[in-house]
Amino acid sequence: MVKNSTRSNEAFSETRTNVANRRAVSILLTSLLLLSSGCLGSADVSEEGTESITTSIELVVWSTYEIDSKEEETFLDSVVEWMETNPGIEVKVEPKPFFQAVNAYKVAALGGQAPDLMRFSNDQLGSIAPIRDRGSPLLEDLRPWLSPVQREIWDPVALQSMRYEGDLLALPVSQDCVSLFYNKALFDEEGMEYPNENWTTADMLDAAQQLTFGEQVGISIPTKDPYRWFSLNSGYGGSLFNDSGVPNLDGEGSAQALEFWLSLELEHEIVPTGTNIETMKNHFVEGRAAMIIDGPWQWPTYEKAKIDIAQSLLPIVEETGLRMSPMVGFKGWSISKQSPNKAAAVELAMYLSTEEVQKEAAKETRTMPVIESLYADEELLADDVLAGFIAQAREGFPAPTGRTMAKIYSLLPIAMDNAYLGTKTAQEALNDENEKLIAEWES
Amino acid sequence: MSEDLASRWYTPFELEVLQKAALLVVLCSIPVLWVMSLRDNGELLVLLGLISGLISLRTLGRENRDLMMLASALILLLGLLTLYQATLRGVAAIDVWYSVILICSGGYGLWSLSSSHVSQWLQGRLGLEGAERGLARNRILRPRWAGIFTHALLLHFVFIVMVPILWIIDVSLSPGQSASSGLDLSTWTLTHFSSVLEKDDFWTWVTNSVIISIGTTLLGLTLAIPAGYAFSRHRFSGHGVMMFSLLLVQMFPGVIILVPYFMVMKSLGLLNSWLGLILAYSVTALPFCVWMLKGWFDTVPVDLEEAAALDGCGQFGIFWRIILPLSLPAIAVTALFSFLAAWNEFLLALMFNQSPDMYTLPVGLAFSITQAQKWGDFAAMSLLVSIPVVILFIIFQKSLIQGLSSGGVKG
Amino acid sequence: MRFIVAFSLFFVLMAPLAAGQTFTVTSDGEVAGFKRVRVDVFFDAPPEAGSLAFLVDGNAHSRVEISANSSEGFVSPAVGEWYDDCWTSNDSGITWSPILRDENGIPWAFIVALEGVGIRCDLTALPENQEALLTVTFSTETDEESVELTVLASTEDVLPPPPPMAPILYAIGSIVLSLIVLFGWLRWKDRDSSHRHGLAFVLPAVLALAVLSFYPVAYGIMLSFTDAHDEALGDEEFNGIDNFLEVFSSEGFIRVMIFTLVWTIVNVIFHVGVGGALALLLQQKIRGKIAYRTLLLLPWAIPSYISVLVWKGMFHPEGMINWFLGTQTDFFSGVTQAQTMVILVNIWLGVPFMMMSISGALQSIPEDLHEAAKVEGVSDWARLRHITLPLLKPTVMPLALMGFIWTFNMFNVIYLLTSGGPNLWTGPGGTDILITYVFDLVYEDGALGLAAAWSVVIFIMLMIFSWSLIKGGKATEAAT
Repeated sequence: MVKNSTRSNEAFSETRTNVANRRAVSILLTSLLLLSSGCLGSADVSEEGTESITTSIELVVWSTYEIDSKEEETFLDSVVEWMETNPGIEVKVEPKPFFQAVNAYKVAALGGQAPDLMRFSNDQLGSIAPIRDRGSPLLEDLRPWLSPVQREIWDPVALQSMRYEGDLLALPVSQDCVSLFYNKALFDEEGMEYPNENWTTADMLDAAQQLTFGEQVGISIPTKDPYRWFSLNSGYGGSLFNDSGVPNLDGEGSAQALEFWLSLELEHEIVPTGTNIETMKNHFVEGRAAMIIDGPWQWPTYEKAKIDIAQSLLPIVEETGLRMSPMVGFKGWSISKQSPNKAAAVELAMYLSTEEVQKEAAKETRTMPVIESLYADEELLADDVLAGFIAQAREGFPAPTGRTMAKIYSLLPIAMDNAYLGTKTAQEALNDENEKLIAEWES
Repeated sequence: MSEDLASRWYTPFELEVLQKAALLVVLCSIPVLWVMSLRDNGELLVLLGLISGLISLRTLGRENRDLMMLASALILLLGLLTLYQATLRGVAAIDVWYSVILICSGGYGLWSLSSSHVSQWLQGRLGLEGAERGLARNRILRPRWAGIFTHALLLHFVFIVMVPILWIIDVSLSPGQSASSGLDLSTWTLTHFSSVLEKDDFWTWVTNSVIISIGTTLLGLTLAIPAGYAFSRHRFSGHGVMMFSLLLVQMFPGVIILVPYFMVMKSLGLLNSWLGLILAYSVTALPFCVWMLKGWFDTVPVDLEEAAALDGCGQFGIFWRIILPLSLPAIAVTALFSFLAAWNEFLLALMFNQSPDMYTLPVGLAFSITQAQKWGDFAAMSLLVSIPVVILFIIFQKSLIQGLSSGGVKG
Repeated sequence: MRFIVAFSLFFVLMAPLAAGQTFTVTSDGEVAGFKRVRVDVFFDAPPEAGSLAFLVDGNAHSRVEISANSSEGFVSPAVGEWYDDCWTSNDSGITWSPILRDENGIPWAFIVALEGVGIRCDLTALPENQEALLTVTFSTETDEESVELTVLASTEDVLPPPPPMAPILYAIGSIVLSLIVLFGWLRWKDRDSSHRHGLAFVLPAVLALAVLSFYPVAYGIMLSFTDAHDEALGDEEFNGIDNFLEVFSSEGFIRVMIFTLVWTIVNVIFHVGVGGALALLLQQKIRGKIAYRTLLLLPWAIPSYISVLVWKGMFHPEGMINWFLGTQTDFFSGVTQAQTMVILVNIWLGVPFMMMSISGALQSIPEDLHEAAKVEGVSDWARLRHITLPLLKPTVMPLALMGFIWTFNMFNVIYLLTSGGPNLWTGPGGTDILITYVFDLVYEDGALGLAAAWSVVIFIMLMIFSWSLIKGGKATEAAT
């Protein structure tokens, strides 16, 4: 084992002293330099809050569209058009990864570097809205910015979904929800009728049973996915929150909905064991599944996989006569409270909600519009698929916002698990989780 | 007399191998037993396999040929039975693996025990000549068998390592964007790779990542090498505390400190820049680099430096011409570590560099994870992101394997 | 000052029209609030049924329907719902009562045939601090009359104050200065020894580290003593050790501590053990070393996000692992099974790095030692135990220490595989380690003070452990 030993050579250490001295001085100088440059840099930064004297305004927009997607293309085209009619305003679009965008926004906003415009989905609003930084929220309340006539443009449901404790936090721009997708070829092979809007859950079960043989799956659903189950829940009359906003998982109809959902795998053995969202997609892409419950964002993938895909409304629940009503997610544009260019930002956001822009997006990318006037637009309704999506969305319920909603996503799978394994009955499982939710909601 | 001598200081190589084989059977039986319990079948066979393995271990000590042959035969039989039973109930890969081990061990046992040389030794009838021949054989066979054993073990590890990676390769080359498990070589295409490489943004990300990673490596080494050297050679006051405090900063979880860290970067004017991330990553890698280099420099004897100094070599010259070349393995490791710390880091890159022309590869990678998860593109891009690292590995291995030539460092 | 200016800006325009009803319009630009103007319309005589329309800069803005019929079927609005409230007054503006709205939200005023009738509306969406032209048009079946006036919504937007940079700069400045002073003092302390030269070499590294890490960590520690919550940032109050008490008394504290320790220790043992074994194997004279090493290093090269997700897919009941084992278990449903699986995946991830580092360290052992031992007839095992291992210790000890710290705070693997489940109760879940739980606290609950307290607990635990390891290492070093 070698050990260090002290030096003994004097001349040697002399030169080293010189070198060390020089090093120390240079380090001192560099660090002072760094500090001073930091001061200068920060001087610039702190002046950001004041209005610029020049007429040129720069808007920073964070888009969460997938890069190089059709949606992004249509969006960027609209932005360019708007810039042409508004010389003097420069728009910088900065794409952000969808799942990380909210956290990135939080950090940037708390650090004073928030973008002017940010695209949020309405459930994400629930996590941003409660934050108060030294008393002020992060998002601008847009109610004073809209006149009553302007407000009428949007579907009131869409507008309402963007409100959190009264404040309007985003101007809606699109919506989406799941519906019933089916593989026409598999139905044709058995000579069966396609799903239609008069179907009940009994019809669906029947068809699924007939279409399940060998490797083929009649209907593939992720058994432990709350999001898709919500549609069945509302079909049975259940709701996530009651009228006063109290969590209501143990309410009427939810247990039956859960039992029916799980029975598709456990009792009728239609759904293979352990199906989750990924395997459901695989089943459909491979042509093994005749029906699935999925959303419009997956449609292009299925089309590309050459599946003869069609869409239908989710069926009516046999027992209650209510239609399965999926949770509708809305996406909209928010304005940061710290933005110095709010007027321009609001104008841009409103432009993106005009009929022309929404129609273009709907035609190019099958994005469901949120403008009342477009719901009955002939051109859009000519596209069966888009008309089907819109019809389904009108049968849906808006996704609730708030922190408790996030908890539902983590606690509901536990109930589903317990009911699935049989350790508790569906009603018991839901009761237990609802208790925890109420405790959470009260705190 | 000679027979006793022969049997006392010579053991046929085969018996050593058999001992290890029996140990292997026992070790392999334990996890297989657990798997069988999950399956609810076949435990009996595995249990028997386990027991036979244990018996073989014991009998090998007794040097009773018949018993040993019996044990080997039993193991062989069990291997065949496992295989048979598996074909009845649906073959799983683990059944095949386990039966191969049993069959090979049992088979080898029977074969080697029946050879004349070993039988003679067991019966004590091996003469000195035979012993000498045996020793010579041992000397030839041992490295070969050691090599086979090493390769077999390494291949097992390579298999465990490669399975997920092969899946990623498969997904990146298969058409469609799902993460399906179908292995269909005929449909492999390069569309995902080309769609990733055709993106303009991709090359921006590559440029940023390369600059930042190389910058981190250089800055990290520039800061860490002198520091490691100083910590190693000089026991100045506060040296222990400082080394410990380098570790301390790694210990605080980063989740809470994201916003203040952002503000520190903002106040230094380092947001949206290369330098900001370079500094941040160097600081993250610094503790490991300093400790590693310090530990390494500790093993380089000071006499070398003193000798060189006496020869009139300047201080910097000593460092450059003697210490550094000797330390190449450690420097290679720390350089690689710094590079990777920068190359694969996602969170800080997303938070600090907000404008798209400053995004790095991990941020670009995150874009493929959207609501409609595009596994194909994501897998292709992950592989592309990993390729430079693999190339670096291969390059650095030269320094790693180089080691010290004879006469390098004499104690 | 502005108030006077604003007040002096509004004036009443009387647009003499043909026979018909006349009304006067006044506006007030600051009482209503941001981007709002309060407009009062007073009729000279009770108006007939008709429609009062507001246009701003020529664009349709809103309207009030005036009717003489009964007000049945109309709803009372939630005042303040959209900031565009309207009121009516029957006594020339002394008292106002809210206007009813129809199902589409259009305000309907039910005018009683009295004098002094007025309608007051708060108009939203007016340009901030800019004059706008307001046209008020009252149209009945027979005719219509307009009044124009300029209005100014004078309330200014209050931008939130930017975060203060000064404290950070002061903090950084004081760190740099105090470090320089400290180093100067240490140098002076060692002035008689030649060791002091080392300080200059160390200064850049320590400086960089301190500048970037000190403020955030100090901020985090300070947060742990406050009741910080992201719904009230900037309003934190010190609450002493309340957070820590809550941490130690929280349900699941013992559980998550134990699992974190088990997770870390088992992982480090396997990382170093398997990594070391592989490094030793690769030291031997076999062919294809570069190929083996490169392949075995791949888990470290591939971004952990995708490899962990692939493992997650492989553990699926219909996945690769179950196919290999011929079973159909859901490995993540039971707590112990899930814990074992996350540990196995992390071992897979961590071994390559250890293997590589130990390979590097093995190079420092002179080949001659091994040769000499072989010549002496020392068996492989003894060689390993008495030569290789002791010589490896100075490098392996810090490696194991680092490994301990990294694994303790290893977030990715668990979060991606199980999100801390199964059994995600309101406390830590089955596979939660301290850091994944802290993440949930911050992002799901926003309880920053509490999360900071947990972080400090993590910090202290790691500090104690590494300090004792170093001390223990030094003791054995001294003994040899």
